[in-house]
Amino acid sequence: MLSSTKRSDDPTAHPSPTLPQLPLLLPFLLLLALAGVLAVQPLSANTELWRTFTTVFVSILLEAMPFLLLGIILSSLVHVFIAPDFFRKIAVKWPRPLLIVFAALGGILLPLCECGMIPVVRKFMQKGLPPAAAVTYMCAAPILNPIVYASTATAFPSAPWMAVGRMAVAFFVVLTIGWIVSLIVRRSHSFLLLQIDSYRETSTHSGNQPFIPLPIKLRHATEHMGKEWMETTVYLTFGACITALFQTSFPRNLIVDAPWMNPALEHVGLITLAYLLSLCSTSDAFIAASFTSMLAPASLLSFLVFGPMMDLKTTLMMMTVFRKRFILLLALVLLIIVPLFAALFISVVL
Amino acid sequence: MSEDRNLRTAERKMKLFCACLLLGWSFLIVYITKQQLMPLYVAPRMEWLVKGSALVCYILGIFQVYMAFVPDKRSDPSACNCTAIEIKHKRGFASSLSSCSAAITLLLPFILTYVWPPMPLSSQAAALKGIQYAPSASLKQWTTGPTSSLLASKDNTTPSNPTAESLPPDSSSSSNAATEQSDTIEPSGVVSKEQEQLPATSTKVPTFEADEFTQIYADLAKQLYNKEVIVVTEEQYMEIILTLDLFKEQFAGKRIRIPGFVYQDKEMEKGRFAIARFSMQCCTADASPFGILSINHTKQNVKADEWVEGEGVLTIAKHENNQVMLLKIDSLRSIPAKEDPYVYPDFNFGS
Repeated sequence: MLSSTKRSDDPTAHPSPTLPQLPLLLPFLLLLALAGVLAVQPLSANTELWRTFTTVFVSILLEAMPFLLLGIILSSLVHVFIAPDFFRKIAVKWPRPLLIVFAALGGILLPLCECGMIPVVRKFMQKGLPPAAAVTYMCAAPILNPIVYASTATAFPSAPWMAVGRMAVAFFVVLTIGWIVSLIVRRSHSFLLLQIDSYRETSTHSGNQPFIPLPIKLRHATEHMGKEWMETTVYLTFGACITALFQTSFPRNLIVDAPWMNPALEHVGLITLAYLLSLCSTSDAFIAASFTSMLAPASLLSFLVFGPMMDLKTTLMMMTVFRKRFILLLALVLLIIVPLFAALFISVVL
Repeated sequence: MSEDRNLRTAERKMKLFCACLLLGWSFLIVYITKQQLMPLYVAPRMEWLVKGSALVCYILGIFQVYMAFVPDKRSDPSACNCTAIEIKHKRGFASSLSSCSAAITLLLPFILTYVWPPMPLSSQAAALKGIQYAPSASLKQWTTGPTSSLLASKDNTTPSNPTAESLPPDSSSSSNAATEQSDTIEPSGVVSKEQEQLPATSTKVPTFEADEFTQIYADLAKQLYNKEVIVVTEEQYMEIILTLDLFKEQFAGKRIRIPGFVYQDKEMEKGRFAIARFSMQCCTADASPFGILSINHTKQNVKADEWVEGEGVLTIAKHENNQVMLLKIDSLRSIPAKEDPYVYPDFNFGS
């Protein structure tokens, strides 16, 4: 029992398994959102409102569950069957810019949507994928894939350049993100990730021991799926809860049809909307299409590009991988470059 | 060695809790399916995915139970530090508080579903999302803008105004529809101008001008036009409303029958309401309401969220600075609420 002696040496190294612990910031956030709902809605909060809220809440979870399960199964299989250095070995052979471009196009190979993304990205990084490439893939895959292209083209039948624009803008945005992240990583790794050490897998792992029989590997993978499912679901549930609160209390025309809108504010407004509504990247184009009579194409592009890269639901799930300050930085950078590229694209097309 | 045992007990508890949740989800999904509540949550085309995830949850849950009670001697899983996420191990109160909030969060969907059972989105949600009375706007996307330069091959005739040539110019031979039209007292002068463009005859099919994007709607319009009463069907709810809206000048004067729930808001003029449905892509988060603005010419009173089937003559009116369809309802009946309250885009449409 080598491991048990090691454990008694350092109790923090292998703490006893407990429930996943939520950062206490989150319950606070929920209370804030609740207060917001009660402020917007008349105080005679009827049960109809809450029943609708529950329906939307569970609906979002049900919709996310298949993709989340897909994500954790994939991640657990990668965890057990792929050597710890797999991605690192590949990564050193490739020049960094090429790696980022490849990660940006990764969605074509492995089109994961936002919900299943986080466990997989986390696992890829544990297996040595450079953070710059991982973040690029995380932002890119929910948009830059054939399914999203097709649904956007369907939603905007008379403006095929909208789907092209979505892809193009997203591509350049994620390249920029990848470049920025690689700059950050060069200076300090710890800015980005939670506890870097836990991402270096120890050699006790199956990847380095080729003689572990398959049943044990599978058992280990299954064990992992359970753990990861629970840990990710906590955050997903939280995100879905707050999203549902906004969904059932926030009047869209506060942003979409507001009289105080000007072209610059329109971008910010629509990005906020995309963030709060947390729509799936396959269906948000249809919502955007319903705004066309009221809004400029450039700000709709912002809506379509920003939403899948970052929204309320995924922000919470990102907190299982990245530090809060990095998430904040990512949001700020996206807030600046997405409207910029969207406006640029529209002006070029015009 | 007792520490080791404690560890194993804690791990077993964790696995059992995880198993409970996984099994809970699979039972919840089975329950939802059995009670036929699935339409309230997800679109039919996504249902198989959700049902599949129930199966996966079930299998995973059973495995967790198995692993909790049958420890594997050969591999010590706790030896691998593969906690999926970093857990900042707080001590004492903070730790139990955050673990507790995690547990509550995980149980939240079950608790809330029990306390507030699901219901279809209603006019409350429709007010938040905003009903689209003129869905064809999404087909006229900036046609004067980028499209014309990008797709130079397309002609400049927008599908939005197929009026001038396509309509028979004489409205003198006033049909029933036109007479009824003139009876309406509309606040704005715009309507009377529109009335002049009404098709005079209902036998002759007007031309439905279309470009390559609106051709499928023009085809549908031709099919619909010859019908005595155009029924907005469940299967093509959105498509039919869009077609009617796109060619509303041609369709003005035709009889339309539309089922849906009643929606009213403050912006509407007195006596007006909308008959609407939510159209769903994947789940209720992306459901958006579509409908036809109506004016009630029957004696029957309507109240919000009531399910009705209205029949009447289509006219054009002004609503919030837009030209929209206005259905003058002369026959209205209550219908039972639809089992599936939502409508879905017809994915075979136009193919």
